[in-house]
Amino acid sequence: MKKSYKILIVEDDIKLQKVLNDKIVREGWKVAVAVDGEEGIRRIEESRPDLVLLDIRMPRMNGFEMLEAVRKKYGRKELPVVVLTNYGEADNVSRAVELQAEAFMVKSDHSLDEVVGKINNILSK
Amino acid sequence: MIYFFIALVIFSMVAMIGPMVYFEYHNTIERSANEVSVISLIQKERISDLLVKYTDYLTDVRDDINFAGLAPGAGQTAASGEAGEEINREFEHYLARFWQMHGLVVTAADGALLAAAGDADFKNELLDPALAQLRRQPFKKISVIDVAGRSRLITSMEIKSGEQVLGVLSAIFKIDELENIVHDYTGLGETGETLLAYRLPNGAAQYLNSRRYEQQAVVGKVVAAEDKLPIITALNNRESQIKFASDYRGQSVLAATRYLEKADWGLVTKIDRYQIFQPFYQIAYVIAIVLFLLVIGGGLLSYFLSRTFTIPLYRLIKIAEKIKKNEFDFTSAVNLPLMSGEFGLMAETFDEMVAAIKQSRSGIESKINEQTQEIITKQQEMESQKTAILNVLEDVEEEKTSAQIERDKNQLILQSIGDAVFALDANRRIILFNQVAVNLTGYSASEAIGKRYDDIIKFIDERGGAVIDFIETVYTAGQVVKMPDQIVLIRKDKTRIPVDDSAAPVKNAAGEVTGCVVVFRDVSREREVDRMKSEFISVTSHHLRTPLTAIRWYIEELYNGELGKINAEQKDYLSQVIESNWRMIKLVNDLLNISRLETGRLTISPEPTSVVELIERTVKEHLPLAKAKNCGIVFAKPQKTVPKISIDGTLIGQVIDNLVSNAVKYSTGVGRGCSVAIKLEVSQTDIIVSVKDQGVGIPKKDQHRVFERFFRADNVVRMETEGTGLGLYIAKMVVEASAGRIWFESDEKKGSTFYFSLPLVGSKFHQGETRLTKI
Repeated sequence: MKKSYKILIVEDDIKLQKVLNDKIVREGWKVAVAVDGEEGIRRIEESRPDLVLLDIRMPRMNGFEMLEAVRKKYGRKELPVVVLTNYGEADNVSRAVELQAEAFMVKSDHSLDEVVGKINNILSK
Repeated sequence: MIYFFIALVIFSMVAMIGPMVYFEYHNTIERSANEVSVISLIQKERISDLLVKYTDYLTDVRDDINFAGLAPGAGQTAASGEAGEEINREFEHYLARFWQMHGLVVTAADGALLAAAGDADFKNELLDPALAQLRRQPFKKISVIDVAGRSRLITSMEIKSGEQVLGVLSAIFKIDELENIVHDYTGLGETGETLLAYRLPNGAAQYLNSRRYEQQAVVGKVVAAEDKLPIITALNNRESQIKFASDYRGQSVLAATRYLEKADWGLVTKIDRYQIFQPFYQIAYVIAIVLFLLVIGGGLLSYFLSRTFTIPLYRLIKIAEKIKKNEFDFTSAVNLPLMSGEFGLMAETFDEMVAAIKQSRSGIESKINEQTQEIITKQQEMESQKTAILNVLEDVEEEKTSAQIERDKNQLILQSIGDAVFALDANRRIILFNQVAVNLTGYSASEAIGKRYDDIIKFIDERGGAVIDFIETVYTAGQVVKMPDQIVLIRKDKTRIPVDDSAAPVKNAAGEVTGCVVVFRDVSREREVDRMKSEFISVTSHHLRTPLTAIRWYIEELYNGELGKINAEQKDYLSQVIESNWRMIKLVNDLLNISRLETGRLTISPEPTSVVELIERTVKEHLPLAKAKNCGIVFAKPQKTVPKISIDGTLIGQVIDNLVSNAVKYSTGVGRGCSVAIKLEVSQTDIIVSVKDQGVGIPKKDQHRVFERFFRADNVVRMETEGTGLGLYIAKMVVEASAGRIWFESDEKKGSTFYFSLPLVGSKFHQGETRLTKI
């Protein structure tokens, strides 16, 4: 049975935010959005998402800073995080692993279906 | 001699007096320190006793008088209150008994005077507000305040009725008795002095007494806490200290500091340094005069003594000089003045000698004339011979000069070349080293010439740090060798300069390599520009990815019919957009990879890897697409087992992937049927992989540019296949960074075979900051 998840999108690019949002809504899941790390932290407390799609490069507080703060409160299994970025450098990957992200995806190299597939994968475990 | 003697006397005097003076100096300091210390202790005790006495007086007053009638806050004054009147009378009694007491007052908590009595002077001071402040915080048992412009010593006590504080009882004393103690300079000599000060709330000190050297200055002069005067030390150190210091006059003094706990006062007893050392100054004065007289007296004595020796000798020398010049017009030495005693005997002998010389001289003269004539003749003969020799020499010189000019010219050309040049002989020794080479390497020509080049000049790979000996290759290969890319020169001071250029062999007539000329230049700027270019590409590419992702995701959703059904034509159009978008994404990925490879930021992490498996995986991935294009891919696996080698599997996998996809791409639509053959061979040192196709091949004229970035041959451009022209460029960089080689054979219209080799010993780990994005 397909469960209804709640996904938080943390993404500063409005266009990407919208297309991700629409896709997840079409999947029949609930969505919350944030445009930077600071807002992301607030949204987590408000909406208690099942999973976070997290961009790295954002104004004010970036994705890693946010994830570092989040991990002080929530463990890896409590709040799975998928890092979704255009900066695929090795040190970013290792930083994401350090901060216990479930997956690291370079945006332009994946279709939305692959992103959704990854979410399903993680949450159905 | 006499000077030596005087010097000896002076020296021995100094040697004897020196240690005496030294020990006496230290004894004197110690003695003086003891004296000052003892006197300061006596002063402290005397002052303490005085304060105890004053406090006892006050205790008597307090214990004997009944203050119970003084209700605080009842508004009584010394003049009006009934109880106050009674107490005032009692006070008169005690003031008469303790004559040192100047006045007695009782103040209420609000500062009002509840009762007061005193001598005639005190009556005038009664209205001074300072008296009302005797209850100030913090409460002090002993203090000094200014009342009507005069310093008064005050002792205070709280008077209580049960637990309730009724007020403060204070006895006011003239400061004279204290001054008398402080101004007692007994035992301190003519410069000694005692100073007394109390502490202000801000840590500064205020003098309680007038100073011996500052009579006119006010008693209450303040010394700031930051001052290094001994009085500050006294206030801040409970332990007595004795040391040399500067006092308020700026005079150097020996000062003993004491702290009076009872009153929180500081006491300093001091004498001037000058006073301590006065005896020494007197002795030094006497010694100086004695030495001066000795030197003057000795000098005069030696002068007169030496005159009696030197004058006769000087006269004899004069005569000897005249003889030398053949002048005999002098009187005999014996007749000279001062020629007595031993000098007389000497003069006689001297006269005899002069006579003998006179006689022999006259005979010699004629002989000399003869011989001189002979010499002149000989000289003329030699003169003519010399002219002949000189002529010959001139001819030789001319020859030599033209060769020299030629050599200088070559030297000049080499020196003025803008690039660094050095030349080596057959033994790899440096025989020429031009100015630019000096500037670049940091070694001077004289340091370099004669040394083996590899002793001082090191070229290394900027990325890996391995030493690159391309010069040796010139000797073994006998041809011009270009420096590999990204070479840096290690300078004498160990700094690095990026350099580029080449080395060429010098050959003799038989074609043997007899030397080598190395030319190189500083390419720091070029490298910097390259680096900036790569940086720019990296930044731009990252920025391109966001809009490319947006296009991709929106279009894919449309294409998948997520937003409503689309017809076949619309679907076809969208698939074109998707493909173009995908190509742009791939181009951006390639560009990013290149910028990482070029700036050496790529991480190579070798692990034991089976190249066979890598090939099999690639073939499996490509087969479906190839089959769709009627293309076969065959991998001829070797019979023997192939050892695993230590390489970065991901990177090498991408190289294989690129070669296979090229082979498929450029074989289709050629009309010959498409087949790609992959082979793997193992040599003694390497694994060699080849990918052979029967495709379009590479035109001869384009072959040297195959590994350049963005290069695409004319014939493939005409095929309108997609491609960025970056795949082989990246493949080459990856293989070379993994210590391997890549090359190819190709005939246009027959097909190409691409090879790459990897050493069995594997690649070295290289820590960069990035990995390749999937190509």
